[in-house]
Amino acid sequence: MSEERKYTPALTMALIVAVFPHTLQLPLWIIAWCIGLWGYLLASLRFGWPRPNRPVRIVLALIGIAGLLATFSTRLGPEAYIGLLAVMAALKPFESSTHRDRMITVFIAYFIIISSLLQTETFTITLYMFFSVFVTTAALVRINNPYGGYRSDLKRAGILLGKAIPLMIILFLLFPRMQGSLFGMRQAGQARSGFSGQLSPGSISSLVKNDEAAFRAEFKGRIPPPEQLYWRGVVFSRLDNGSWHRPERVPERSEPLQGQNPVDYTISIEPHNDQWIFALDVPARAPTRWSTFYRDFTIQSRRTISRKRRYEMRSYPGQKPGKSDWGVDAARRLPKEGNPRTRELAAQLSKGADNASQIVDRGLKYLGDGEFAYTLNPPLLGDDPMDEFLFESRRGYCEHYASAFAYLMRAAGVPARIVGGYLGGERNPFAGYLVIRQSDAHAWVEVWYPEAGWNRVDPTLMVAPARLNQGAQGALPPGELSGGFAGKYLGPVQSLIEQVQWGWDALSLQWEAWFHGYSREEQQALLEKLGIYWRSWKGMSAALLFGLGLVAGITGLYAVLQFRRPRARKDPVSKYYEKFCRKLARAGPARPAGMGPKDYAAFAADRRPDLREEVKTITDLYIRMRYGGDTNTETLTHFKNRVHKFKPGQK
Amino acid sequence: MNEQFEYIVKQISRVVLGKESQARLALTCLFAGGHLLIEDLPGIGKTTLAKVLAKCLGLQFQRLQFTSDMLPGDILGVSIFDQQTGAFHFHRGPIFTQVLLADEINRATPKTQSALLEAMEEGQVTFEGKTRTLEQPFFVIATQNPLEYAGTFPLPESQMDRFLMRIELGYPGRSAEKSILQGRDPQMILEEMTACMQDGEVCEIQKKIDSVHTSDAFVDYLQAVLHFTRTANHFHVGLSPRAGLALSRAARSWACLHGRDYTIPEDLQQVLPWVVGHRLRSAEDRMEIPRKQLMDIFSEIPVPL
Repeated sequence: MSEERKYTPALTMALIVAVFPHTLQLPLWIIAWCIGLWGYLLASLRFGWPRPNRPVRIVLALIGIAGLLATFSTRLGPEAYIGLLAVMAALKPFESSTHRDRMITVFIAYFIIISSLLQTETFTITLYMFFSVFVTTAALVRINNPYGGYRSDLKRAGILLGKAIPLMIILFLLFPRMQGSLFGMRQAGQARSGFSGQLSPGSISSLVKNDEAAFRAEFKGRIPPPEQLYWRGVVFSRLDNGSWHRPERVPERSEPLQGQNPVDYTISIEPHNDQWIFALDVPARAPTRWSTFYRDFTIQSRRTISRKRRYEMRSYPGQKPGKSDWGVDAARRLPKEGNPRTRELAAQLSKGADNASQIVDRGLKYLGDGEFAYTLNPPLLGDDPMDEFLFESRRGYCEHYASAFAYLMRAAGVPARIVGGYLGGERNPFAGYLVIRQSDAHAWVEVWYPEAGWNRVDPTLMVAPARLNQGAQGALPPGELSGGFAGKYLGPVQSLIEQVQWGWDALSLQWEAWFHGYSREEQQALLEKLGIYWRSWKGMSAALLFGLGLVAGITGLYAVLQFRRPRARKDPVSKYYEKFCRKLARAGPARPAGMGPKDYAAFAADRRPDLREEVKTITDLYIRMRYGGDTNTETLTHFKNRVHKFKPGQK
Repeated sequence: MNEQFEYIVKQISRVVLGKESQARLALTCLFAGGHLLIEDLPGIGKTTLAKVLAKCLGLQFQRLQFTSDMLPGDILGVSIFDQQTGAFHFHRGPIFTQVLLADEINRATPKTQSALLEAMEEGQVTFEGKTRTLEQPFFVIATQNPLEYAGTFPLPESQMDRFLMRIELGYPGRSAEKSILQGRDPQMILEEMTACMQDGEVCEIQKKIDSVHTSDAFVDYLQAVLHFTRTANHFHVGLSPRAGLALSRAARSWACLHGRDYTIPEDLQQVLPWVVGHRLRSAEDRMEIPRKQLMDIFSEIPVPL
């Protein structure tokens, strides 16, 4: 019992700390399971309650597995995997009677910590991981040295981790970077962004309540004005069954777009488990090798963005997409039937119009004059959604306006398509970058004029002009977005909380810039600077060897420093005697480590009788000072001189 | 000091031929105030060495042959009823002397052994509630025969620890043996011999040894030795702090007898095998480690500069 009391609290603590960040993802019963078992364990240590014996533990394990099967059945994703770890980790401290069991428990704790990476890689989690590694290492120290106090455990763990920092840096710099996510798994917490290959009523308004960041943009120069902050993501041009789709095949655009007044910025995108790459309208080119620039001026990553990524972008925000006529045909197509009243309205709009832009203006005017309302809670639309929206309900969110307007324009003979993305963004008061949140999601329309090409039109602004400057929250009727509750009650505290949030956000971004900015490309660049060419297997092994060599070198250096440390403190007596021994070793026998100075003098004199006198004098001086307690400086000077002048010939 | 010491060594060597280094060690041990255990075969000269030591140092000498029927009273003394005074009168046992030769100590029963060993440790005898201090200096030179085990009670390790040193004599060298065979009877020489030291001189030398300087560098080396015995995998159990003190005292004594008022690593190396030989056991078979092997092991320990 007392044996256990030394270890079990430390092990349980390590497991609690390791499992804690998973509590949000884990099913409730697993959390209850963990709390119950650990609570019982700690209480049984305190009060001497009986401990479950082996059969009971087996039954508990079976119950846990059954629960897991019931919860996850065959969905063997990261959640199931972490759930299994948590269920077993809750049981493991009950059988930690041997050292081996305890070591296994510690490794389970480490494993759970690593599995946090399956979930997220945010700054907060990273900081927390350092903390939990620290706690687990302290537990590891404890089970190997149960006699120290907790303070000494923590101290030793700190020293160990401190020593591991150089290794960590080297591995960070040189370990081959994996593309994609860890273990090839999709990260959990999937599909946070609602942007998919299709746009239908409700697909954007469902995002408005989501306050999470979609991406952050750091501008090299000034932030463009609000009317230019349209972040282009997806172009929907195929209308099918009431919803808009991205065309199946969009050709790649080979050359970058040329223009004036470019704006350069860096985007840190949050994982959204899709391929969209957002960029300020109109982007000039694809940012990196891992993405493609399409002829509808959208960019897509070649891989699913399942972890945070950073990319540098250039855009021409003041410019229209221009004369590219790709997609114009597709932008004319309408279903043969349906929405008769809309078609009628389109015919009215186009009657007598000189050109397309006049039709567009008339259409916008119709929306502006028609008592339309901008709301998150539009009524459900029936079989002829455009008709119902334009003539009956007149209530909708941006996707309703965009889709109705695009339909109207197509019906009036103007090629039109819908662009999905984000509008606006909030500036971090500390760091000056923009945070674009899911709630900034937006949809607008592009129309095609034969003379000028594609042109951006935002029908939503006709109804809710405030959307441009104040975001969705400012544009929506009061009370629809219940985000501001805190402001009403907390007063000044609210602003303090916001300040802290912004500060933390800025810090996290800085961390990501540093951590995620070190991509595979950066690593290759670094290695190429070191003369290592990555792509050949030779280069790869060279890089690894280099890294391992560096690690070994540093460890060796450390060992040497450790070993030399007592010598560094040595007084001149030892230093000069050592010098004397080196000189004598070159001329005669070297001193065996276990031989005292007097014996060595005799030993050397046997081999080199000619040096007998000199060796004896120096040795006697040394012995007098070192062992005889002679601290006279004159003796020391004399000794130094003798050693200095001691010049034995060759053997 | 050095000359006087060399003279004593020479005197001893006249009687116990060819055993100069053992004589040095025995003297070192006695001057350090420790008790000596001589372990060897019969007829090698253990008793003669003990006798000559006592004689040279001018100390009272008592010899006690241990047997299995011996009782503590045979060593410490007995109280006898005196009819004239009508009271009990304490008759001092052989332990009330300065040099006690305890021959074949392992033949006595543990009870008797421990009576002796307690007296050795405390320097006093408590009998029937009365404590009597032994005269200083007080040395015990015990002998035991390592080969004869029948009917013996080997000293437990904890009691072996009471002896500062354990030495062996070994057969004499060829030329020494020739002189033994040709020369006069050692007993005769012994009888003719006069003390080399006067009353109280031994205590003076002991005081002098106490004042021998042990520098930090020396203690570092001593600690390295102790640490080595505790961490190296040669030994079953490492040396105790008491063994460390014994080493320090023996080294100081050695240094003093060789005319130095400070210790150097060589002093420690000289006494080391004899001080630790009976305190260490091999990790493999829990048996004592042969002297040669022990010296090889200890020569690995680097001397700090």
